[in-house]
Amino acid sequence: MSQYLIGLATTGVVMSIVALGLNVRWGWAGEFDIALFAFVAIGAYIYSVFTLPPNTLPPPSGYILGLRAPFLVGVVAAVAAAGLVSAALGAVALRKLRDDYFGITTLAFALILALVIGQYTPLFDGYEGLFGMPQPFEFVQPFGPDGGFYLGICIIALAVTYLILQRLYKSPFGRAVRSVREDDTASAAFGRNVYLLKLKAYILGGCVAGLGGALLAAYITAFNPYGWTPQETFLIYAALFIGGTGNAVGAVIGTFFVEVGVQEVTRYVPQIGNNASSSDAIRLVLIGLLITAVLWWRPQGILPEPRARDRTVPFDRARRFAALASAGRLAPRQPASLAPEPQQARAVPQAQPAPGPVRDPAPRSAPAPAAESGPRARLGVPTPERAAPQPAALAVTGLTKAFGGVKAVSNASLSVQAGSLTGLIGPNGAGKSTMINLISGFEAPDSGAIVFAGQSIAGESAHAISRLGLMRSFQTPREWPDLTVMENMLMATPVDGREAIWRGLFKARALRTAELTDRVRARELLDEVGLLHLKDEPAGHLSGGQKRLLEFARLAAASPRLVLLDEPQAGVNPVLRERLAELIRNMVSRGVTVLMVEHNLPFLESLCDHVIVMALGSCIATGSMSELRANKDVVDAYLGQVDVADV
Amino acid sequence: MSNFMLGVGFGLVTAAILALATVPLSLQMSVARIPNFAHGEILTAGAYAAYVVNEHVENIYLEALAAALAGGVVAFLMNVLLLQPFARRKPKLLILFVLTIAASLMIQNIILLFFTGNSLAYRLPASPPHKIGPFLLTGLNLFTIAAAVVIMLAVHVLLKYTKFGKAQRAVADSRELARVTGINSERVIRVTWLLDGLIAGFAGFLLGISSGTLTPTLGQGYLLVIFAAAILGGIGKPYGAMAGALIIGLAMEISALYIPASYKEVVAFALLIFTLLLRPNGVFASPRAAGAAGATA
Amino acid sequence: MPIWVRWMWPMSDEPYLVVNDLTGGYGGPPVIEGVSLQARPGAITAIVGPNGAGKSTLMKAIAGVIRPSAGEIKVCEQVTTGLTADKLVRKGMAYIPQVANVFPSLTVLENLEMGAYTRKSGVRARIDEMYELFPDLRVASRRAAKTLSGGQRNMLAMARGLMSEPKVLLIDEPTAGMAPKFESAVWEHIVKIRQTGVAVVVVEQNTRRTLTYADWAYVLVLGKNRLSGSPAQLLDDEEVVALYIGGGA
Repeated sequence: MSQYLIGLATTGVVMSIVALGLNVRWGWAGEFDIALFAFVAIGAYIYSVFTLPPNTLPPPSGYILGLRAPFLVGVVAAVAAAGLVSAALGAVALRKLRDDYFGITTLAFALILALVIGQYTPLFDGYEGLFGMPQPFEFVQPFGPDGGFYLGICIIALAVTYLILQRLYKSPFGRAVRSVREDDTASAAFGRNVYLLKLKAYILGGCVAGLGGALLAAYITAFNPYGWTPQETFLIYAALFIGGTGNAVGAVIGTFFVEVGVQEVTRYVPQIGNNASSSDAIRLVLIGLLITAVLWWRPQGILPEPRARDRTVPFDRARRFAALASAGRLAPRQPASLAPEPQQARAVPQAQPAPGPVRDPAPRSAPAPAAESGPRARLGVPTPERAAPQPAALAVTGLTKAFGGVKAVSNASLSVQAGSLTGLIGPNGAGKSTMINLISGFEAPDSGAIVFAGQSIAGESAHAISRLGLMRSFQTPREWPDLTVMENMLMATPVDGREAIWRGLFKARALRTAELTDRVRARELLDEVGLLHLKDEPAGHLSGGQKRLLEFARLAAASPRLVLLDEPQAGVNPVLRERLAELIRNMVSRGVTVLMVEHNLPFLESLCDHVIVMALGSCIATGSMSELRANKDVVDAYLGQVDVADV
Repeated sequence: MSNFMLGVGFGLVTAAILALATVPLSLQMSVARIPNFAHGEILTAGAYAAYVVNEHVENIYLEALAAALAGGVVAFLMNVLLLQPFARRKPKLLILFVLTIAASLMIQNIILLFFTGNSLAYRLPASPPHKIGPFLLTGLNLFTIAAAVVIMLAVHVLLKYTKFGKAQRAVADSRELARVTGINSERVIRVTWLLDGLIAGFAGFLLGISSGTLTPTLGQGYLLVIFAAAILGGIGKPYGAMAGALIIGLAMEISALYIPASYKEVVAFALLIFTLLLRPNGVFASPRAAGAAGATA
Repeated sequence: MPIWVRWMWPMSDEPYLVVNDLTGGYGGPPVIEGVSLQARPGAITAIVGPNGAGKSTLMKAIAGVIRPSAGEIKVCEQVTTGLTADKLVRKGMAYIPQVANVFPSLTVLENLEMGAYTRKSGVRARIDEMYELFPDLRVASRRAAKTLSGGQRNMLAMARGLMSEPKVLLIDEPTAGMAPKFESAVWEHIVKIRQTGVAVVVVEQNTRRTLTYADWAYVLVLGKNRLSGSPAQLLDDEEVVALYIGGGA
C-alpha cells in the first residue's frame, strides 16, 4: 500500500475518533461546543509531555519533564488530562447558558488556551511547539517505512472507542443524555439531574477527543498551536452534519468524506494563478456550501440516528429465570393492568435483578418483606426516597410568587387528600399554572410552605421533587420526540443508579436483564392505552392525542404517589376524552393522588368530587361542583363583577 | 502616570475601531436577532476592498467608501440569500448560528482565493505621532477617533430622531407589535443588515490600517473581542455597545502596560467569559440567567 | 365640544367588519372553527366566553397576526383575508394586543409616532387629539413606555392604535391585570372612542361588566359561535352562566 494512502487513512481514522468525541457532546447531548479541538490539543500536549525524553539529550529535542513514558501511559495521561479540563470548563459553562452563548464561551476558552500556550513559552514551547515524540512501541516493533503498523494501532483505537461508545449509547445513561437533548424540562420532571448528565457527556466527549489528540501527536511526532484552530472544529462539525448527527457510523463516514474525500478532490483542482492556498480555499468554500446544502435539504445528515428497537425476548431465557428466582420473586403471573383493582397482585413483580453488583443493596432492600407477601405485592419499586408507593397528601400554605411586581400567586393555601381526585379550576390569570409550577419545583416560591407526604418541598429542585414521587404533566405533551415510544417509557421508570456510566460499560448484560421487567411492564401499560403497536416509533411522530396517552402511560410507569395534571384534555378530540377520563380514574384507584387543572368543566365534573377554585392568585373556595356553582364568589370570579370593588 | 495616559490614548483608538465594529453587530442583533459568526468577515471584506482601491489610488476617503460599500453588499446578500430563506422555516437559533459559521468559512476563503494568504498592507502616507494633551497620537489615529465619533453620532441621530430609526427600535422591542402598527418588519431588517455592513466594512478598513497587515483572517481574529464588547454592553443595545467597546478597548491597552502585550486579547476574552457567566445581559442590566436557547426570539 | 368629536362619522348600518365562517389555529387542530361576526361603526361589539374559547385567537386571525385556514374577512366591503398585519393597517384596521402592546423602550411620544407610521400627514394634530382623549399621556410624553403603570400602558396602547384613524379597532382584554377601580376609567375611554364612529371590537374576561357597556355581544365556546345578542338578553340568560361554570345545558 502506498505511503500516501496509508497517511490518508491514518488521518481519517484519527479524525474519526475526534468526531466520535464531538458526537458525544453534540450528537448525544446537544451541546454546541466550539472548543473541541482545544481538547484534542490538550491530549496531544500531555501525551507529548509524558513521552518526550529529557531535555539534556541531543536533538530531536526533549521536554523538561523527560518522562519518556511508554505509548500507553502517554495515551492514558492524555485522556485523563482532557477529561479533567473538560470537567472544569463544563462545570462552569454548562450552567444555564443558551446554546450560542455556550458556544461562544467555549470558543473564548479555546482561544485563551491557544494564546496562553503560544505566548507562555516555558509551558509547551510556545509557537515552536513540541516535537520529536518517539514512535509508539519502538522497542517492541520498530516502524517500517510504510507506517502500516501505526495505522493498525489507530484502527484498533477507533474500534475500541466505537464499541465502548456504542455500548454507552444503548445503555440507560445514553438514553438519559439523549432525553436531555430532546427536552430537558421533561427529563427534570422525571427525576434526572440535567446539569450532571450534560457534564458527564461533556467529559466523556473530552476524553475521546484527548485520545484523538494523543494519537495525532504520536503520528505527526510534532504539535504546535498552529495545528488547531476553530476552523478545525468546524470541519468536524461539517463531518457530523453530513454524516448524520447522533450516528456514530455516520460520524466516521462524514469524517472520511470531509477530511479525506473533499481534500482529495480539491487536490486535483489546479492552482489558481500564483495562489498557493487556492486549493485549500476552494476546499473550505466547498465545505461551507456543503454544510448549507445539508442544513437546507437534509438537516439530519445522510445517516439517521439509529433507532432503538425493543426486544424483550430474553437473550437467555434460563438466565432470566434464574435471575428472577434468586430474587425470590417467582410469584404467579397475572397480567398487570391499569384497571381498577387495587388489591390484585401485580404480574411480573419488579425483579431485584439478581446479578447483585448491578444495584447497590440499599435502594432495593426495603421492599423484600412486602414482596414476599404474595398476592398483596404492589407494583412499583420502592426506592430509598419513598416507602411502598402509597398515595400521598399535599398541603400548601400561604404560597406567594410574584413576577416583576405582579403577584401571580398570592397567599394561596390548599390541601389535597391522599388518594383523592381533586380538581383545580379558576378563570384565566388565576394563578393555576404558577401554582402547579411552584408545587412541582419548576418555580421557587417567594414565601409559603408546601408539604408533600410529610416532607417540605418548597423551593426544592424539580428533579429532586419528582424523585420523591410527585410528578406532573404539561399543558402541551412533552415527549422526547427522537426517542422511541418504548424508550420514553423506559426513561420514566424510577431512577436508581442504573444510569451510572460505569454500569453502562461493565454491566450491560445485567442492565439489559434488569430492564426486561421494565420493558414487559411498559408493554403492558402501552397496551392499555392502545399504543403498543407504536412502541418502536419515534415519539415525535405520534399525533397530539397519542402523545397525551403516552404521557399517561409514562406517568404510570413512574409509579408516582401524586400526579399534577395540567389541562390533560386540552387539544384532545372528544372521542379520546372518555378514554382519558377512564385512565385518570384508573390511576387513582391504583393508589395515586391526582390534582387536575382543567378548563373543561363538564370533563372535570365527571371525575372530581372535590374541586378547588383559584382566582386572582389565591384559593377562594372548595367543594363539589354543584356547591361551587351556588357560591356567589365563584360565579363572580368567572363572570366578573359589575360593581367596582375597592381592592 | 504619563505612561498610563499613553495607554489611555491607545485605548481610545482601539475603542474607536472596536465601537465601529461592535455597534453595527449590536444593532443587527437587536433588530434581526441573529448571532452572526460571519461578522468578522464583513470587516475583512471591507479591508480588502479598501486595499483594491489603495492599489490604484491613494485616497483615504475613496478607500473608506469602498470598504463601506463592500461591507454593505456582503452583509445585505448574506441576509437575503442565506438567512431570510432559512428564517421562513422558523429554525432553532442554533441552526442560524451554524449557518453564519458556514458563511464565515465561505467568505473568508473566497477572499483567500482572490487575494492569497500573503500579508498585504496599505500604502499609507507617513503619519508621525503628535502630542495632544497627555496622548501621543498619529494623524491616522485621530482620523480613526474622529470617524468613530462622527459615525456614532450619526447612529444616535438615526435611532433617536428619524422615523426609520424609531421603527428599528420598535422592531427590536417587538417584531410582531411593529407589524401590527403598520411597519414592514422584514424590510426594516433588510435595511438594518445593509447599515450593519456599511459601518462594519468601514471598521474593517480602520482595523486594517491599525493592525498594519491584511490577511483573510483579519476579521475573524477580531471577532471574539467584538463579541466581548457587545455582550459586555448588553447584546442588542447599541449604546451599550459603545460603552462596552470603550471599556474593553481601554482595558486591553491599559493592561498591556502591565502584562506582556501579546496577552491583550486574553483580557478581553476573560471579560467576555465573566460577563456571560455573571451578567449575561450586560453589565448595565440586572443579574438574570441567560436562559434557554432562543430566549430572544 | 372636544376636538375629536369633529371626526364623528355618520352612523350607518353597514358593518365595518364582517367575518364569515373563520377557521384558524396555530398549526395543529383549529382553535376557532366557522366563526362569524359583524361589527358596526359607532358600536361596541363584545366577544366573550369561557376559557379556551379562542377569543384571542379569533382576534389575531382578524388582525392578520395568524393566517386563517378558511373563511373570509371584510373591512368596509374590502376583502382582507390573508393580508399580513402591516398591510391591514392601511385598510383601516387597528389591533391592540393584550400583552406586549406598547414598545417598552420607546417614549410615549415615539409610541404614538409609530402608530402613525402609515400616515402621510397630520401626525402632530392627531397626537394632540390623543392627548385630549388621554390626558395622562401628555404628562408622560417623554417617558419610556416601560416606566408607565399597567393602566397607563393600556391607554397608550389604545392611543397608539387610534393614531392611524382606523375604522375598526380590535382590543384584546383592555382591562386585563388592572385593579377594578381602574376598569371604569378604561371603559369610559372605550365609550368615547365609540362615539367617534369607530367599530370597536372588544374581547374581555369580565363578562358581566363588558355586557353593561356593549351594544352587541357574541359568546364563543370552544372555538365556535354559541350565542349572540343584545347584552340585556344575555345578562339575564341562565344559559350563559351555565356555559361558564357548567351545571346546565
